[in-house]
Order: sequence, then C-alpha cells, then structure tokens
Amino acid sequence: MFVPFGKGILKGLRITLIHAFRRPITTQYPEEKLTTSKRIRGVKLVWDSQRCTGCATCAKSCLQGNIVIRTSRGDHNNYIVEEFTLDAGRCIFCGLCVESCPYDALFFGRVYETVEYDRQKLIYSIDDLTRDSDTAISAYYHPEFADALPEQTLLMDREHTGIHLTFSSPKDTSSSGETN
Amino acid sequence: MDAPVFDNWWGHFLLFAPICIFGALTFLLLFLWFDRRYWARYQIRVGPNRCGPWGLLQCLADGLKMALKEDIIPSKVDKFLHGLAPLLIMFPVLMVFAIIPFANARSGVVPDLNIGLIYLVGITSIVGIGLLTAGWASSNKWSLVGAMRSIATMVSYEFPVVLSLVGVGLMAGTLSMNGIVEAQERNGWFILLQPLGFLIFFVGMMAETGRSPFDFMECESELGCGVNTEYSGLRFGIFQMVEFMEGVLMSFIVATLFLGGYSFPGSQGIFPEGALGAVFGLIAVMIKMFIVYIFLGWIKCTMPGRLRIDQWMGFAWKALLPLSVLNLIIVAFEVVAFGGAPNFPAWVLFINLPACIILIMLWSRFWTTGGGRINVRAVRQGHTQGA
Repeated sequence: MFVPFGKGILKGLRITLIHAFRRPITTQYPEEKLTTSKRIRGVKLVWDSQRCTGCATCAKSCLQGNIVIRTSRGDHNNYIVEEFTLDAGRCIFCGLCVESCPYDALFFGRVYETVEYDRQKLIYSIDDLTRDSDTAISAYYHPEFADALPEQTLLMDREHTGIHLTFSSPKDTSSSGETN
Repeated sequence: MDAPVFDNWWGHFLLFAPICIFGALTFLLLFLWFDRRYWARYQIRVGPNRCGPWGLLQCLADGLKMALKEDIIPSKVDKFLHGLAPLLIMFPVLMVFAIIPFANARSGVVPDLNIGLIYLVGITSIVGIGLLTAGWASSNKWSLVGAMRSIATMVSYEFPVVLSLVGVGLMAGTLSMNGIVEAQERNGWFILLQPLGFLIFFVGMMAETGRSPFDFMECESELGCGVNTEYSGLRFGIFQMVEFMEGVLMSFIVATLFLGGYSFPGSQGIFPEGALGAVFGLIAVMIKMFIVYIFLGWIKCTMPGRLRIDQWMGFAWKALLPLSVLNLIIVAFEVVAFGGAPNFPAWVLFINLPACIILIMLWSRFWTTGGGRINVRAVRQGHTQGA
C-alpha cells in the first residue's frame, strides 16, 4: 500500500556517513610520495658502461630516434662509446631500447620527477646516464632486480595502515632536482 | 528594559549594523573554509590545507582571485540590470541577518522586530527578483531558463514554507523571532512540537536556496550554471558567496525557529542577563547553526544529483503543499483547543509526532509522478496496461 518513502535517502545518508569517517586517501605530494611500481618506466635510462659494446641496437630500435650513439675504434678491436645521448623530452617510454639490448647494458631508471623549464635540459648526456653503484634501476624487463626493490604502495594500503609514506629511495629524489 | 547604548535607532545604525555586516562577512569567509574541509571528508579528501595555517586563508585567496579577474560584460547585455542583479541578490540576504536573534532582545544588544516572520518572507522573496533580473539582463538562453526555474521554485515552494511559518507563529503567538525563541524556551522546541512543519520548512528552504538535490537554477551540466553563465570576476564571486550565505542563513533560521535559537529549554534562569547573556546566546545559536549546516552538507553529499523537473514541481504541489495545509490545520486546532500561546502544553508532541509519521506515510502514495514512471512488476508479468 505504501510507496517506499525516503528509504533510499536514509540508506544514502548512511553510506555517506561511513565514507565521511574514512581516512583521506589524498597524498600530500611534495611531502609524501608513494613508492612507484617495481617495473616503472622512468624518465632517465640507466646505461652500464662495462657491459655496453657500442653495437647501437638501442639506437636502431628507437622509434623516435632519440638515442644518439657515437663510437670510435679501441685498442682490442672493440668499440669505445664516446657519446650516448638520450632526448628524454621526445621519449615515448615504449621500452624497446631496453628490451632489444643484447648485452643487458640498458635499463630504465626509477626517476619520474624531471620537470624542466627548458627542453634542452631533458637531453641527457653519457655522464647523466652512466650507471653508478647506487643508481636505482627499474625491474622493467629485468626481473632480477625486482627482489631488491621496495613494494609499490597503493592508496588502499595507505588507507588501512595509515603509514606516513615517503619515497623509498632518496637518491632518486635528490638526483631529480639537479639540472645537469 | 532600558537598554544601555542601543536603545536608539542611530546607535543601531552606526554601531550594530556595521558590526553585524562585517562580522557576518568575516565569519562567512572562515565558515566557508570549514565548509570545504567538511565536504572534502565525504569525498575522502583532505580539503584546502595549503594557504595559511590549515588552509584558513584559502577562501581569502579565492576571493582575491575573483576580485582580480577580468570582469567581462558581454556586449549584448543590459548593462545597468546586469550590474544591478548581484546587488539585488546580495543585499536581501545580508538584510535577513538583521532579524536573527543572536541573543535575547532583553539584553539590549540585538534588535527585536515584531513582524520578524513577515520581514523574513518578504525580504527573501527579493532574491528571486534579483535572479530573474540577472537571467533576463544576461541575454542568454541558459541564464533565462535558470532564472525562470528559480522563479518557479520560489513560487512553488514559498507556499509550504510560509504555511509552516504560520504554524510556528500560531504556536508561539507572535511573529517576532525573539518571541518565538522565548516561546520555545517556555514550551519546548518546535522541532518536537510540530515535526511535520519542521520537515516541510527544511525541504522548502533547501529548494528555495538551491541546495543540492534542488539546484535547478544552476545545474552545471544542463544549463551551464544558469544565471551565472554571463557573469565573471567579482560579480560571479558575489553569486557564489550569496549561494553559500543563503545556506548559512537557512541554518540560522532553522536553528532559531525550530531548535530554540539562543536558548536551551529552561536556560532562562541559568544564562545571565545583559551582555554576558548575549554572548552565551550567541554561542548557543552558533552551535545549533553548525549542527543544522552539518546536516545540510550531509544531505548535499548524499544527493549530488538533482530531481527531474516534474518530480520537483510535483513534490512541491502534491506533497508539500497539502501536508503544510494539514499541519496548519492541526496546529490551529491545537492552539484553539489547548489554550493560547503562553501555556501551550508540551505533550502535544505525542499527538503531532505520530500525526507527522502517519501523514507522511499516507502522502507518500502521491509523491510518485505521472508519465515517466513504469510499473516494472506489471510489465514483467505481461500486464502491459500497468505501464
């Protein structure tokens, strides 16, 4: 006999009240940073000077032609890489260079904060890309790095644990600020 | 009864009015911050927290931004009316703040207007004229449609609101806001004594001020913000501020008329007389206003969408208007039967609350709207004539 009156409204009020007492999932970005995925395709490539033979497979595979590699002849009938330049401003992060490297000498880095006022500053030279002992390397196409990397933080984890999150590797954040 | 400073009109005009206006505006800026932080919690956000401590200066920054933006006046608008409309909307809302009893009038700090309810109804109606002016002067279809919708709201929802206000006036035996609060101090809050009137007034005021389930006058998706379409800069800021102020004002009026205003039941002997009592009264009415506003925000976040236009008109004419007439009849009968205002018995609560529930349940049959509704069960069973 009675048409349901206001029942839906009361249900909705209950739902919104439950949501009102949830923990905000907002990440206060410059102060709090979420840990990125283990397989992030970062802006900077990481180039291993020991393993690279200068075969330039990466440069050939690049769809955009972003990678410039210039070599000279070494003493033992080998190539010496004199220039390895990446125009990260034109990179589409397809990952073909990393996947095509026959000697596992090219990786994705984990840096993602590389905003510049000048596009010229996004062209990285061989010194910017060379792998140090403590350069963070993404596990993209190289799952052997995955175990050492921290777990990705999800917003869901943040809500339930309430941990104050910071970016896991401070090395990356400090290097991202420099202008080179 | 001889009030110290404020017993003459010039004292009121020079001292109280500026304090009231600037105090109200400053308070509104701070309250807007609270409002945004509060709404953010419903969306699992944090809200503005960057400008100043805890983001307190965010609203000031937004106001400055509004003031510094270019004020674009389209070439085809009626320039005089286009400029006049924001003022026509803003000043009535500020004027209604004058009759809200923030404290007992016997303390001599706030005025007491003996026809407060009539003033309230009359002044708030000017807002509709301002909206129509804005919509007409903008020479924009969306603006005009939004303005006509707001006028339709005013016309439809004014009846239930005024009829429930008449119930309040009957029960209190006076039209003065201060007298109504004193009557509630004696007899109990009117939200308990006439719950049906409270519900009708609350919904009607929500519709008139354009709160969320009833924001037909500026539906962003359909009308491109209605009358706001051709406004920019400070004038748009005024529209936004007025919309927010109307919400605060509605909370104050509900707190005053139905929740006992500046008093608590039996607080006559506890609150001191004079200016100190006025401060206590201000705190009391602020707390009640906060509670009402929080409830308003809760409703807004629950129903961010809006009704269809026939549902919206049908709700006013088929549900609220008959119910408000019935409420008025019940209250009038009780006033005649149980004696006049000063000794109105509090136990009519036990008549009015069941009457409210039963009437709403009975009337819920008429809340359905014709035409758009399909009887799903009948269609499923093959009785297509039920469709």
